[in-house]
Amino acid sequence: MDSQLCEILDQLFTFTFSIDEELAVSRISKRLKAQLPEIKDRSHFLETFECHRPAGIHSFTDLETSDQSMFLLISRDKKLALKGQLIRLIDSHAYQFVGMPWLAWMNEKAPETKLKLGDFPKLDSQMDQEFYFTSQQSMVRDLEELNEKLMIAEGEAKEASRVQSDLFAIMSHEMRTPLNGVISALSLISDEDSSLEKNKLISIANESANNLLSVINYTLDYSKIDAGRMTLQEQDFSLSALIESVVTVTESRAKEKKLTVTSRLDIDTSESVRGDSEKLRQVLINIVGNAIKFTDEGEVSITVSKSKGNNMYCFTIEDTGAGIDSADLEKIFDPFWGKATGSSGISTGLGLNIVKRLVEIMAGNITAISTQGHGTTFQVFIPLSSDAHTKGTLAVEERRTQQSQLAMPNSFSGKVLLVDDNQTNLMLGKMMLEKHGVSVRTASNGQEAVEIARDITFDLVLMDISMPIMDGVTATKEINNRENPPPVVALTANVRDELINKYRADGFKGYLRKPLGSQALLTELNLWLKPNPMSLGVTIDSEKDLSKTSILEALWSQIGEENFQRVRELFLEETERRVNVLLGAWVRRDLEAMRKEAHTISSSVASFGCEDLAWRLKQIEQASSENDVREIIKYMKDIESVSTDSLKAVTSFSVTEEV
Amino acid sequence: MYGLIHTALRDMVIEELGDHTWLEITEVSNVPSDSFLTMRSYDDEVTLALVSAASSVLKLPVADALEAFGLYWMTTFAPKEYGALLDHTGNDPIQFLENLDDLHDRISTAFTDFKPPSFRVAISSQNAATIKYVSNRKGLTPFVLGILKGLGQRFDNGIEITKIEPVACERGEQCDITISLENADG
Ligand code: HEM
Repeated sequence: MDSQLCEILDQLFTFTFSIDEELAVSRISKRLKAQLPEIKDRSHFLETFECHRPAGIHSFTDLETSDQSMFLLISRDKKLALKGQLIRLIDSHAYQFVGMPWLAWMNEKAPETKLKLGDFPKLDSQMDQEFYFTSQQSMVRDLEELNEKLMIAEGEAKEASRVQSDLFAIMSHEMRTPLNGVISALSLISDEDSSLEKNKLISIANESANNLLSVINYTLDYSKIDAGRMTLQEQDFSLSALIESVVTVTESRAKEKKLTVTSRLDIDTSESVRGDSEKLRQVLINIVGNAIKFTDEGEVSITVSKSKGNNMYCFTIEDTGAGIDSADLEKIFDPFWGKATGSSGISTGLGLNIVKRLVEIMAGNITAISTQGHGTTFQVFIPLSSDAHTKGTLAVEERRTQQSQLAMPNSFSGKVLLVDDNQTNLMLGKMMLEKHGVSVRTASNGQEAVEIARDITFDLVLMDISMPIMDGVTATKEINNRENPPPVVALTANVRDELINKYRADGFKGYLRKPLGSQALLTELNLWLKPNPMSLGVTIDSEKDLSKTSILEALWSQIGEENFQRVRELFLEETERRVNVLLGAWVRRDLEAMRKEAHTISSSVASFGCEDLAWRLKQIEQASSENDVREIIKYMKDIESVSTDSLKAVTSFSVTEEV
Repeated sequence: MYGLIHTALRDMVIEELGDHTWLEITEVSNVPSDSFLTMRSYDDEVTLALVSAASSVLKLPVADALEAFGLYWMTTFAPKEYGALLDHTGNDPIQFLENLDDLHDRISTAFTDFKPPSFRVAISSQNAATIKYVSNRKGLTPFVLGILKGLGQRFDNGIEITKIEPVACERGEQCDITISLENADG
């Protein structure tokens, strides 16, 4: 072969040699000789190299059939591997091998053979690839590290948010208890004869306390939703009744501003639907309430329509208010938007965010459009199945919500049976009821209640849930089994959605939250009892300067010194006895007894202003129901001293100045 | 520069000074947390921010920090990550330096946004050479000096830098670095 050509090939390729028909090698390139000194002119090709690829080369003919293949050759001493191809020159009976080191093999099998960058032709990319692969591996590692960091950060963020909503929930619970005390106390003093001035102060205090309560309830809802603990409570209900109740609830506020609230239902109203009516109601009341707040004249209208072909309902709430500018419109559903005006709980800035979340829980969607100066339109889309059959199941519920917003009588005629195993609660409840003109019988457990109710016809039964001998649920079932049973309303500290629904299913006609607030009590009495013909509309009034009024003072002034001494005595005696029972149950590790006892004590100690004790008892009740002994120990270890201190404070209470 | 350079800087600080110092440097530099992906090309400003943050946290002049980094690159990071490639670059300092452009060229086929430096070696006597360093960037000569010292360590052959002569240029930076080899036959 032309020696000039050979030289060109030597420049292009690291390793070159020719193979003739006898498989003898010649024209060996310098760099190959340097790497493989054994190779000599006329060495036999197959004695010098093992032909790794292609396989089965034994003769020159074999080479001819494979001359388009890639050749991978390994020197017999296993120190050098070559990668290349055969070139057949037109006028020659020999092949020319051209190639370079087979890098992967060399790195793995013969790392001691030192190759240099110069041993690789520029056009060969094995070295480039080696760099590429190493970098690629690092890249994968980098991405994995980054991902891990992000996951940790994500976990931390979630945890922080969970801790925050737990804190929210705990805080709002803790705030609600003393606030309920304040509200109960306010309601106790409200009927005292009064001067106009003090009357006003009390009414302000009352309103603020109620507003605060709704803020706290919002917060609780918010954290519940935040922590994903809000569940759907589906039931059959009538849309027209629901809308009517929304109108009634919001109407009084509208009237104050001389606005009208109208509603139109473009649907078949004879049919009831199935969905979470409570949440839907909360959503609509909130939006309508907001609309009223931001509208100064004109009207707020509610329209209900249903899309054809599916069960998507559309609730459109339109107002003629000031409108929202487009920048704000984007943000109205954000949490804490709108530190806006007004004293209502709705303006906490959580309102619309909660609305949106509630809508999402119901698998719906909410939008708002607004033109400044031309009002705002909210549209809520909620899927509701309409295969329901029951009608009018919500009638009572509707009446209840409607009435709660109207001016109510404060005196009634009728007989009420009050059932509670806590004697202090019984006495206090009796006093509150008697204030409203009704005659009261008491029973300390379900069994007793069932028996008394057999002999006497009551107009209303107020029933505690957890009681010894026979609990409230069983007693209610028994009472309801009779002919013409009186309505039974549950007294409960637990107002979680699912429990309320369960009470309803158990035959309770309603529920009252403990400790009793007079507003709620009035609403319930008004629902079931006839008003006294002589009754006056409710006004909230009292003599007390609230800033100085503790729960005990309120009690004292409400029922008079003599009665106060009596209730106090009962309370001290009962609480001391029950705390001892609780301690006994703890010694026996009878958690079920502990749960019941802690529950009973906590409801009356709260009424006597022993908040710390009440709180501890609640924790014990909770931990006992969860069999969480470690948690119980935490609160039981100083329950005795806390209760002694609390009772001492109640014992030594005296009114020093005339109020 | 490529994330590869950033990860090397990070590894050096963490190995020699600990996680805490590194955290401080990233905070001072204010670079995004995804600035350390080997095969991603970042704006030189990111690299610069890291280097100047390191210099201020470590209270070292930027040049000293760069030189230390060059030394670490040559003696620790490159051998660990790209050992085979370094092995193929040369058996002695001169051969190694002569192949440096080839090395960076090979990298260019994988790193398409790569702007490598260039090194020309002129052997002046048996144990002395002048390296012409040409870069698109300014201010990295100290990094080269650190690498050269590392190169000396790699071949057990002390390299002494006898002269650094800046060469005027329109863009980037150029200089002639004269070295003498203490042990010329390796
Ligand atoms: C395995 C060995 C090496 C690898 C993988 C490597 C890779 C790199 C990479 C990725 C860059 C960044 C450039 C850009 O992103 O645009 C760079 C820059 C640089 N490399 Fe290398 N390098 C190696 C060895 C060396 C050696 C031994 C020297 C000797 C002096 C050197 C000198 C430089 C310099 C001075 C720069 C700065 C860029 C400039 O001056 O403009 N490198 N190298």
